[in-house]
Amino acid sequence: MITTMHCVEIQNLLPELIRGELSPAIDGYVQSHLSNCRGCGSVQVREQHLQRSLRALPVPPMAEGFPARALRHARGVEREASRLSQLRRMGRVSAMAASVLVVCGIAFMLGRGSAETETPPQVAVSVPLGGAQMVALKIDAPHAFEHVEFEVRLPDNVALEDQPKLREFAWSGTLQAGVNVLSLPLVGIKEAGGQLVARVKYGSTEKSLHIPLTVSVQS
Amino acid sequence: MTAILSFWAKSTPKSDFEQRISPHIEPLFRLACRLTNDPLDAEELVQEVLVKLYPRRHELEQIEQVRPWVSRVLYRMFVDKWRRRRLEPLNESELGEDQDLDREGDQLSPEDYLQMRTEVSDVQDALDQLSEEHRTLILMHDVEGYTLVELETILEVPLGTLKSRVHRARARLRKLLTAHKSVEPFPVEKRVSR
Repeated sequence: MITTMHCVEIQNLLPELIRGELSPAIDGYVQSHLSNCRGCGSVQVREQHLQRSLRALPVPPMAEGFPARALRHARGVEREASRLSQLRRMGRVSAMAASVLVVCGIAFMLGRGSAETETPPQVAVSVPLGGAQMVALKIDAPHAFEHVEFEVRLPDNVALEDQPKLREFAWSGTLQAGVNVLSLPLVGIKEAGGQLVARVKYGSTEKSLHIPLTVSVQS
Repeated sequence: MTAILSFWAKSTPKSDFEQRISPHIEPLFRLACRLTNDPLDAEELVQEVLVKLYPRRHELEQIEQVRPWVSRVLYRMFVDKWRRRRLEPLNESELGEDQDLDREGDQLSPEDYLQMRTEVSDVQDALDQLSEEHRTLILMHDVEGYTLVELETILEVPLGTLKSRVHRARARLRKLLTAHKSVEPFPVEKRVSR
């Protein structure tokens, strides 16, 4: 129930009335008052003019291509910062062990062996929690292949940088003779262990690779 | 021979961050223009916001109301780094083709359009005389259309306080406009008796 409002209170509500922000009950009450009060009606007209003028205040147009340019720049700054951060971390740990280098090279041969092959267990790759780590899968092909199917499945403790919802992905492509590299920019999202599974299929031959990934807090 | 699989270069879709933030870049630019009064400064400010937000993209995924959240980042950045710069009114060459006036003016008679142009100019003058707090509130709420609930997030001020501040800001604006004789809107009776 709405108690009686005086003209001053009605006039205070006019901006909200014009913007359509009053509740239906109050809106109806104010409209009813306005239809009977010449003074408030006059103030309403002034308020409508003011609100219209405010909405019409000009603003310069945004430069064409600015959003794409700005996002590209932001992405570049972030990648550079991430790269520098990784380099700093590498600098700190390189004297301790070569196995914690950012790029992890793992090779397996396609076109040899049985139709379905699992590579031997790999050394765990360490990914910093909240940080990015590039994991490189090396696929050694004795000659060029076309129509090769690739499939990658991520464990719960990591995500693809920029595409956190992409957990499994598959695509078709070609392999060139020699070493082919698939770089996966991974971000540690949960302090836990997990296993990345990569499959490469050509015709009836399929190779799969299980890479243990450990996400931990790194100082 | 080492070949890099071209999966990423060819098929990496726009990231979630970019998809979520893209629709808000133009409103951010508009808000930045209102705050800085300079389109180049506005671009720089928005650019800095995006650079700041990019590393926080995982945090952004958890945000339901993106507009007030990113606007708050922009506003805080403006307050911290930008507002010490002297505010200069926008000059004509920066305003393009009166795009907003034309949009509003499409439904008006030539006389009313001229009247509105005068009013808009006077409103801009009056806004420039407001205190920064009042000016910011009017620009965000009445000009750019942010709701009070959004402003509660952006400005980190309780709703009740915001309501009274907006009320005071509007009262001050009306007072300045009333003092400016040429913008005193024509009364209803004159319009209907014409």
